[in-house]
Amino acid sequence: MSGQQIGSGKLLMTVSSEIVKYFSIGLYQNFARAVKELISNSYDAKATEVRIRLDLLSGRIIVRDNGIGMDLKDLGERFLAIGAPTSLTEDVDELGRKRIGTFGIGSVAVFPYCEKVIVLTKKRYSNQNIQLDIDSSRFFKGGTFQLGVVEKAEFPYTITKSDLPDEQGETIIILEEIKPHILNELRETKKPIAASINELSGYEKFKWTLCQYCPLQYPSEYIELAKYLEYKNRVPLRVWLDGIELFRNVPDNSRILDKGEKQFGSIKIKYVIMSPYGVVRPEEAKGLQIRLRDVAIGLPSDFEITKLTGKVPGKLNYLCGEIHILEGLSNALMIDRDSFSFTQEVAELQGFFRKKLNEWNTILENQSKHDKDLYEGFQFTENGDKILTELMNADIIKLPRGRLRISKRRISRSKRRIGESPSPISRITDVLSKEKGISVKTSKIGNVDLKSPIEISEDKKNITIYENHPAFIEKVAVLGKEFPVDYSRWSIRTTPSICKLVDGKAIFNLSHPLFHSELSERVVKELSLGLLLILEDEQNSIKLLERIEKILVDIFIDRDGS
Amino acid sequence: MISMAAIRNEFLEELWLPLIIEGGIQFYPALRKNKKMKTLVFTDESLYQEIITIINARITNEDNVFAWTDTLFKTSRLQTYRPVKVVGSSRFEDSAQENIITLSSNFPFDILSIDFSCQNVQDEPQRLEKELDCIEQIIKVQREKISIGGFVLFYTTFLGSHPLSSNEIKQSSDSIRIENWNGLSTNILPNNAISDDDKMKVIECTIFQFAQKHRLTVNLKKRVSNFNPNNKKLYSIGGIFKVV
Repeated sequence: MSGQQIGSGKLLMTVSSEIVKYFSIGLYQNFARAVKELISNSYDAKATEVRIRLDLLSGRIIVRDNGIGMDLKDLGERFLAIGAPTSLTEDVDELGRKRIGTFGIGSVAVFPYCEKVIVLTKKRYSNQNIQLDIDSSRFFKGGTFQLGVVEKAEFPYTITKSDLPDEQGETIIILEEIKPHILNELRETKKPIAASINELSGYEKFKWTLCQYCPLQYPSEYIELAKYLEYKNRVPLRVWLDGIELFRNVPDNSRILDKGEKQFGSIKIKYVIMSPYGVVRPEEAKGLQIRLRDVAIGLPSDFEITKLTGKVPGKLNYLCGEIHILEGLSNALMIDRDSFSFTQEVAELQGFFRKKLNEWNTILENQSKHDKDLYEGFQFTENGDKILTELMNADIIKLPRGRLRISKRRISRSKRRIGESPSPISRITDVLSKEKGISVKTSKIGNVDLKSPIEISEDKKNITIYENHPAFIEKVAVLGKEFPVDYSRWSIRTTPSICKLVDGKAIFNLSHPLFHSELSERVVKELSLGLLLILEDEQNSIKLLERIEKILVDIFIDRDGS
Repeated sequence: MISMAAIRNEFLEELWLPLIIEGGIQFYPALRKNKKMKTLVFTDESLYQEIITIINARITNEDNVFAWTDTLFKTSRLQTYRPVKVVGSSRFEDSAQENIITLSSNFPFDILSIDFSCQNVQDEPQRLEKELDCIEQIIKVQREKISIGGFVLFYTTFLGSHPLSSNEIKQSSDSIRIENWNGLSTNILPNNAISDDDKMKVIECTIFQFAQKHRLTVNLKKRVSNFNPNNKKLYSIGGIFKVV
């Protein structure tokens, strides 16, 4: 009968003394990494689903999988055989997976965090449930593993009839009476998005850690990434936390910059370098995440490809990605599963990616400079935002505006100093053709009401700019009238020195110091044109204008003319 | 072969859900959507269809679902599947009084699906009598905690092969004393109901009288499965119990 006891007894735990020393120095850096070990066990037990419940109210955590389950023999010889290592062979199981657990410490990883562990399991093709009760707290006193206790440890089990169909297996690990400091951390509420995982709420940090380490699916929006890094013919593992499915961490809006395969001696790898075209958040995701059999080995920062402590140069902050070890390195894995022993091949691998990231740093630096030029070039153009959106959609502009320091001036000081033409069209043309490698054609059109002032070809390699499009014609509005704008240079000793009207066009003198001042360019233009218009009809107005212009210079320009 | 899950789904669609929706309209007329009706449900289905259905119908939410299962395995499965509160992990009828005390701080509920077919039912004598005693105790606590409105309650079970004794039911019920109540009337009922029809008649009449005894009105509706594997014909009866 289901639920009714049909057997009971005690199981003995065996512990390799070799392994004990690692526990005494604290094997896992945090609770989430210990829970990750349970998920790794589920993966090796051929589970396709793992469901986790953090019942913080009851101080209990439940991890359930639909793997093959365990019988008494499995429990005694594997689950309770701590530190019985299994070598990482290349064998592939019927789900297309290679084993990821190696040191036989998975289950005991959670012992320090709770008072009691209950194991509920049913092996496939058996009709029996087994419940094993482990009073885990006694193994850790003051943070030290108690070897003397473990040598004699026996745990009671009971057997009942299962209600599941015979062909189904199941393992449920219940961590009872979670230690208060863990519960307090998990209950802690902080901001949902943070610069570092240490600024996240305890729950979010736990979730982030699982998503970073476990062999999960990539979020559905990253099709290219998932397709490139997928393990062919492997049945994936899906994990839910409190009813919500977890996916691999990928910083929002990340795009693939580079991908490939590479060999370093016996190490064969596949890699993807990505960027969200902004600072990677949280900072622990910066750099490249090493994965062995799809399981994260440490964090990106642990692999020392980029030193992320302190100030990180330039756009290295914008880079993230993954390196999947396809062959080799299995035997170089350290027991904490967070690092490899440092071999010549590992050094070569690190050197290669350091170089790669530095190259991408330079590319992104240039990219941001050119994108900035385009933003500045279009910012005063009518419908400029629309054009910029088109360029972003066409992937010609990569960085979001918010990431760049866009000058609020139409003509930046530096551009004027080198005497470059202030025309937005010529600046845009320069950037697009010289820096972005796009073929730019300027053209005039009869129908100026054409929807867009630029046209991007389907292959995004050719752009036509309609230079007579109204969007490109700068205007200044003064005293209720609009004047087309043009620029020129003339001696400031000539009156008017800032602005003159020629055939209804307002011509501004770029040589005038007011255009080099901190004063808003719009104010200079509107003020100088306004004064010109007022005085235009007056007798002897030229003298008056001279004096007003001098006052303006005195007010806004330093005595030394800077 | 029709599965139990299919039968339960049919009950859900044709009996439980319509009555729950009607109850929601009667007791929470102002809330057209997003009702948070407090629900006690005995469950064991692998996908917890009844819970998901009423949450999806916006009759309740996860915070207001209190589930009862009969084993730690089932409890763990449900808790990892949906973050609802699981308030018990043993056969409810084995120690009904104790379990009601355990649950007491959670009473009253708006919806109670007391489904003994989820509780490792054994086809043994006196089972239905014991279950009906549980039902009365639950109705009693519910009634003690409400003065207006009401609740929706279903009793679901396997009819089984053993006879149902109305005398036994009367004995248990009469031991729960209520002022101005002269005891359960069993005159018109067969003492030992053997056929499924007779058992259903006894159950319906008993629950109706439980309602009267505890100053509630109810219009009972029921469903029974045609499928009868190993004397496990599934029967469900329920209604909207309103305070008189």
